[in-house]
Formats: sequence, structure tokens, C-alpha cells
Amino acid sequence: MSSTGSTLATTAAEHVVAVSVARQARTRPVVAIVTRHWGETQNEAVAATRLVAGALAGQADVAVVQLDEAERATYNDSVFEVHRVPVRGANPRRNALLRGALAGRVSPSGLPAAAIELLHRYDGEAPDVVGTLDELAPDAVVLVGVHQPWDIATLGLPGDPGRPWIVAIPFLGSGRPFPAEIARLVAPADRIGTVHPGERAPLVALAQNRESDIVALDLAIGVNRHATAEPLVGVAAYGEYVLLVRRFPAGGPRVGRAVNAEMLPPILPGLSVAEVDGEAWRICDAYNTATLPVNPSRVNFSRLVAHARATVDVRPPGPVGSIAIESMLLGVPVVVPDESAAQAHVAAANGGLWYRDVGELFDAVRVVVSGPIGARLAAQGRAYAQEKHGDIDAFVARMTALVLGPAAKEGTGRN
Amino acid sequence: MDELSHDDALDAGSVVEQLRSLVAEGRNQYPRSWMPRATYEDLVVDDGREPIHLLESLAYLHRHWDMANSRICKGIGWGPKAIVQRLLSRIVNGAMSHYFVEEQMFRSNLARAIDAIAYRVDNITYADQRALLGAVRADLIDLARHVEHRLDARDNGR
Repeated sequence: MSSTGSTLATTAAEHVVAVSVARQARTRPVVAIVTRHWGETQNEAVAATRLVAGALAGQADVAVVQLDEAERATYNDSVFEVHRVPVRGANPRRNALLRGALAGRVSPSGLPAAAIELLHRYDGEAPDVVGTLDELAPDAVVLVGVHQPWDIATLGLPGDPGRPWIVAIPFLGSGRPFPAEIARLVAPADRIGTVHPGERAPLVALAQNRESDIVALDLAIGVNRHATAEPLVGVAAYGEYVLLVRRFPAGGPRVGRAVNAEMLPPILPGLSVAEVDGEAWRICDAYNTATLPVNPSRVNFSRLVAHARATVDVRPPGPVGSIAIESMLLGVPVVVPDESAAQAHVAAANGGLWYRDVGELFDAVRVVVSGPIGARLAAQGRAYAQEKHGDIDAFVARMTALVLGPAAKEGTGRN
Repeated sequence: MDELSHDDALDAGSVVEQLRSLVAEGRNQYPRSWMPRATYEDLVVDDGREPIHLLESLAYLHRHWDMANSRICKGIGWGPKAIVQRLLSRIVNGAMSHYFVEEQMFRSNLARAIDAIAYRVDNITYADQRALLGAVRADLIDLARHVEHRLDARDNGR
């Protein structure tokens, strides 16, 4: 046994040396982003992951290890080299059903071991990630999203020699993670990134004595201010309007028919309501409805937001709350669902109101569009969003320091 | 709400709490608990599948497949241009009449065929919703029977 242990120790030491030599030979550091949030799906998590990758691409070669049900492949996506690694045996539907059932009936801290095992089984497994990371020998690894169905314990713990710098971005608002799953993700991480203010408290509770390791990413949301100078074609005849967002972008999750554009004009006298529902954009007042003949693009969406009296978001809550941030950046107060990423931003900014049900939504919209309160909320929201999310250069610097700071220090002697 | 508007820094959380307390006092002006019910039509609409037989292009086809009148040249007056137009029209129609009749038949059959295919595709597309509706309807009928049965049993027990 002792000779085997000695051999293993020698092999591990040789591996550390080999990785160190490989890193020193590079001219630019390599960052590996391991995530399920990549590919064709259009949602907030994917957009945020691309934002993080984009911020790092200026200073490092970014390789994305994409966890996906499809077969193994390597391809280029923009400036990123994507290593698609198959997740085998996953059952997302059963996983979601079980999570929903457990979230309502079990104390989050007291999840039974059998349930955790079942959830892991439904998550599937991606054993090839370890080999892919070995090949990449990255200077830093960014684990994006709690769903990491591979042996992340192989990354070691903070302080272990030779291992890459590790940053975890859990996206607590995506996929209903349980504390045990979040703890598994953050255990090997040197730093933990949050994408909205509401994530800090649960992470502090889980990662005790590591408060200084939890860092707000404050994702920068780009807004084309030149394009938003003019209102969208077709809305002028309807005067002032409130924007109701039911689905955006077009491929995103869709909300039921609990609230639609026709329900709001009766409680908002003198105002029209513009509705964005995937590719169907329309505007209505108390008497007429017109389809907006525009391309449902992000620029046109920003244009619609910029000239609204308020933005009302009724979509299923996403992990980032990017539309709330965009609306506040454009100086438009926002009404968002309670207990969501968007609500955390809005509460921190005092830039809008939030609701638990349809009745509260109506109340909040009426307050936001009437009197000086809406203007005050708009001004406060804009100030907050400008400071936290309006400067892309500052975001790039922040991400570079967070992920590449140690690598940059190590690599000062590089060619 | 007015008193809040004069604060130096407006706390959104206090506005939300004040709204909730107003509601708790019953000072709301419109029904609060109402929620629209899901219906069969909503199922279809939320599915994001537009029925093909309602496509505008198909409606256009139905309105315009009969082009018989377009062949009749209605040159106005007795000027040389109108006379030449009518003469040419008669010559072309006379020489091509067999082709035009065949083409008219072809268009009418094409419109019917596309219409039939559209309805068939829609039927297949919405079969799952109809099955769901049928299952829900059957459950409701079973439930109604069960309730009636229990009511009858209770009445007979008296």
C-alpha cells in the first residue's frame, strides 16, 4: 500500500509540475467556463454567461466546457472555443417535477438523502469534464450554474498546490437549487460571484467565514442610447403607454394568460398599454388594438422601453433580472415579481415596485404611473443602474481582477 | 401615497408595504381576487401554433382563384385603341379558350386541395389538445355522476 501511495503522490506531483510548465509556456492565460448555460437557448442565464465570457476574452483565451445532452464536439463560437461534453442519463422533466414537489413540502435545509441522490441521478453525469479540464490545463475555472453533474471535488480545495483559480457563479434563481447543491458548488471555489443583491445572504449563510470571498459581479447591461432616442414605429398614435413584458426574447419562457394588455387600460385612464409577447408585439388603449409592425429585436425592445411610462414584467422570474436593470438604466420605473432577481435589484435601487399577485400588480402599476412617485423611482433607479450596471469597462476590469487576478500575478514572467 | 412623495429618498419597500396595508384595510377599488380561467382556447393560443386554415394567404387564394372575369377585355369607347384591344382579346380568348378552361379548373382544384390539407394539418396539430379536452370533459362528467349518485344516496337514506 505504501509503495502505491508513494507512486500516486509522485504522479500527482509530476502532474502539478507539468500543468505549471504548460501554463508558463503560454502568452495568454486560459480560462475554462464550465456550464450548461450555453448554446442556442435564449434565456437570461445564457446571456449572462456569454457576458462573463466576453468580459474575460480581452485578457484571456476563453474555453467553454458546455454540458449538453448532445454528443461530444469541439467548435468555435465567436471568439470562444467550445468543448461540448455530453451529459448522460439526465431526466430534466422528472428533475423539475421532483424539485417543484420538494420545494413546497420539505424544509430546504432538511432535504432527505434519498431525495438528493434521486436529484443527482436525474441530473445525469458528465464524467468527461475532468479529462477536458486536464487537457485545457486552465489558469482559472469559472463554474457557472449549480448544475454541475461531474466530480467537482477533483478540483481540490482553496489553497491546494497547482490547481487553477476557481470562481463559482451559482445563479441561485435558476433551477431551484437546494442548499446542499449550492454548498457542493461553492466548496472548491476561491471566489463566489453573485448576479443580484438577493444572492448574498443565502451564500453567506452557506459559506460561513467566507464573506470576503463573495463578490458582486454587477453585470453590465449594454443599452444602445442612440437607437433609443426615437420611439418605436407605430406607438405615436397611442400616446403615453405602459410596457407589459410577457415574453422576451422570443425563445424565452412564456407566462400564462393571467395578465394581458387588455386588462390594464381600464385601471390606467389615459394611458395605452404596449405588450411584448415573444414575436407578437402590440399596443392597445381602451378602444383599439394594433399590431406593431417591427422586428422583435433587442434594439427595438430597448426603444419600446425607453419611451414607456413604466415597464411591467410578468415573465417567469429569471436568474439575473436584466430587463429590470435595462429599464432602470433607461430611466423607466419597473414593476416586477416579488422574490425574484429583478425584485432584489429594484429593492436595492428603489427604482420600482413589486407584486405577489395580480391585484398587487394593478396597485403597483397605478402608483408608478401616477403622481411624482414614479418620477422619483425612475430617477433613483437610473442612478443605481448607472453606477452598478452602466459601465462596461468597469465590469470588464472587475471580471478580469476576479478571475484572472491570480493568473496575471503568476504570469508576470510570461513571454 | 402622497405623503411618501415628499421624502428625500423614496424607499420602494415602504411603498409596497403601504400598498399592502391599504389593501388589508379594504380600500381597494376593483376586484382583487379575480383571475381569468384557463380555457380550451387559451390552451390553443398559448401553444403558439396558428391554425393554418386561418392564414391570410389561404384566404387570398379563396378570394382570387376565380379569374374568369379578368380575361374579358372591357376596353371603353369606340376609339381605335379600344377596338384593337377588344379584337385582340377575342382572338386570344378564342385561340386559348381550351387552355383557360383547363387552367380555371386547375386553380379551383388547387384551392380545394390546399384547403383540405390545411384543415387536415390543423386537425392533426390540435389532436392532442382535443384529447386533453376530451379527458377533462370525461372526468367532469364522472365527477358530476359521482356527486349526483351521492346526493341520491343521501336523499334515499332520509
